[in-house]
Amino acid sequence: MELTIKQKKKIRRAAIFTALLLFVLVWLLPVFGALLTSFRTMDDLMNNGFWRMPEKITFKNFGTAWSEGRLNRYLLNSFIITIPSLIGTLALSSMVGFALAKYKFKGNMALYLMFVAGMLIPFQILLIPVFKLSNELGIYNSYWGLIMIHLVFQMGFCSFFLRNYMITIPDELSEAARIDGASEFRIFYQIYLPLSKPALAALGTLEFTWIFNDYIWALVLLRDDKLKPVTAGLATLKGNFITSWSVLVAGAILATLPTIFVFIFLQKYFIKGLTMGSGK
Amino acid sequence: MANVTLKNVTKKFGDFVAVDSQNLEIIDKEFLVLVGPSGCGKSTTLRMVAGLEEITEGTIEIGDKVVNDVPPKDRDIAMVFQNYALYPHMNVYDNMAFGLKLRKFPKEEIERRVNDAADILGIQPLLDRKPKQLSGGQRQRVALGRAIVREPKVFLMDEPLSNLDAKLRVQMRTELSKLHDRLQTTVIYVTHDQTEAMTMGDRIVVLRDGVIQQVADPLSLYNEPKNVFVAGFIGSPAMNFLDAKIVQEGDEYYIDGHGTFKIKIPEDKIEKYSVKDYVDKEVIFGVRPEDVVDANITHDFDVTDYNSFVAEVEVVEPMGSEIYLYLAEKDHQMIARVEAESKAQVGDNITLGIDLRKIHIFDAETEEVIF
Repeated sequence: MELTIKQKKKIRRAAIFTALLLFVLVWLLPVFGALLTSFRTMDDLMNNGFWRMPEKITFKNFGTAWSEGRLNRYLLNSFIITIPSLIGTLALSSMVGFALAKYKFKGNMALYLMFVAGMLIPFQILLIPVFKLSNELGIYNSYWGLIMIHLVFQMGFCSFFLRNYMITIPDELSEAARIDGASEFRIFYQIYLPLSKPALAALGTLEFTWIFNDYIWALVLLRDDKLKPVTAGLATLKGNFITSWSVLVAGAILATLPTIFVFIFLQKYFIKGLTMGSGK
Repeated sequence: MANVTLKNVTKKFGDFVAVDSQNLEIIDKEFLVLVGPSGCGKSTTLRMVAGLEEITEGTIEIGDKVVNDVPPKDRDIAMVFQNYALYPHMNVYDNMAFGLKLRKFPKEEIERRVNDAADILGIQPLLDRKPKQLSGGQRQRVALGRAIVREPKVFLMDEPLSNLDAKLRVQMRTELSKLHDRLQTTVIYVTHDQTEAMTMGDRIVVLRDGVIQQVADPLSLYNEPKNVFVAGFIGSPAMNFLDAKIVQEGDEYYIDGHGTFKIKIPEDKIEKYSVKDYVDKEVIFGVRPEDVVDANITHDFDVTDYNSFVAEVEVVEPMGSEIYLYLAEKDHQMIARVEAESKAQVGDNITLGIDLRKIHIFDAETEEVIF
């Protein structure tokens, strides 16, 4: 039997939809399990395992994680670390991007490639050298140490991204501004920076999640529990002999909330950013 | 007050010479047009005056001051760009006020100037809009407005009309001319369009490969071109060029188109120019399409054997008010611009007269004009 084009299209659509639905289910299953776990008591969990519906829904775990688990402190630390890192990275890399995009000077390309290369180095191989360096500099076990490391590590990608965005802004704008009497910094600050807002928003979203969700640098560079961000802090909820899974999972859910909010509010920029520069 | 003087100005990009030792004096309040094909160095020249390109050699003076090392903002110039270069994130008012704010003008003064400029240009209702909400013509006006509010000594315009559609371009052309009359400021205007150059310029500079070919007012440029390039560049349709030779027969001199035509050189020209030196030498014969006439129509000169030739009509282009005839005579191609009454049809062999008062000949080697 011959199928019409319309029928073929329908079948193909249905197949794709089923496949996607399956992926989504598999993807969301652990999240669903985590949600179930966070709403039940430890006893319920011990008796019935992970995948049963809770006997009784309770919000106590969140409270425990927040106060006794010190999530309040850890989340605050996360913000103390993430926000300056984010602002610092965007501020510095937008200047780098502007200079690389708009000025002709010897070594421009080499410098650009250096930032790209920096982006490509796997950070794992730098764990020990950076740990030693932070000891030498006396910034080990401090907010500033971690902030500076984040700032430096994210600059490669951010500079690369912003340079490629700013290079698409016509040179005539800076020339017009120069004739209008603007200094070079003003051209950057009043013309190119506002025009790069979409790129900055997309980058800000991405970077917020990356820095906020960092675990390994916090683990390596911070010793004091009082300073740890939420990712590393959650790990301290795991006891040596017994782990209160419901509290831990409730804490993990609390820890993801900020990134979820950032995504919801900035997602349109985020999606724009992913396709940025791919077409006019 | 604001003469602009270029002395031996040269610009090199690496080994490439974009502008080759130009000397040019732009007089105060003059509308000077730099014209030439793309890559002739006209924009580079303008950008050097603006201070956007460094000068490799020579000096540029604005007023009496050498400005080689003066940054653009201190040169007292304003520039209008081809793509307008409006700040996309600012509204029209802020676009126009930006330069004044940076110069720390008092608020009332800024407001007065922006409003005045907006009135002149008819963009008063658009002041709150962003550039992307404007049409091409409106953006063009804002770009002009941004230059006007500064009240500079010199306006620099880099192909400001080339992004507009044909109709709007003609309209803006006259508006720009009017604006110049009104503001009485020196304007240096770059274009590749010879019509713009002819209609707007007080004087025109024709450039080719970075070298100035000729500086003259529009009519002189049209009637007395200095070389083949200028003759061919100015005027549309372009001047006809035919390879020929000067021959002497007794006391008379002829332009001999290698057997296809033979035209007598008027006596006054022989006396006045060095025609005798070119006897038996190769020359380029040049005549504008409107100086080639249909012999069947009466003109203010007689068509004789010595100022006419026969050619086949290949294409007829009726323009309404006139007709363009594309002619072929052996391997020579020509265009004649004849009156609308002409009855010439494709395939006809018709007699064409040449207005001897308007002919030119050029040295075939140097391409310089003989007369």
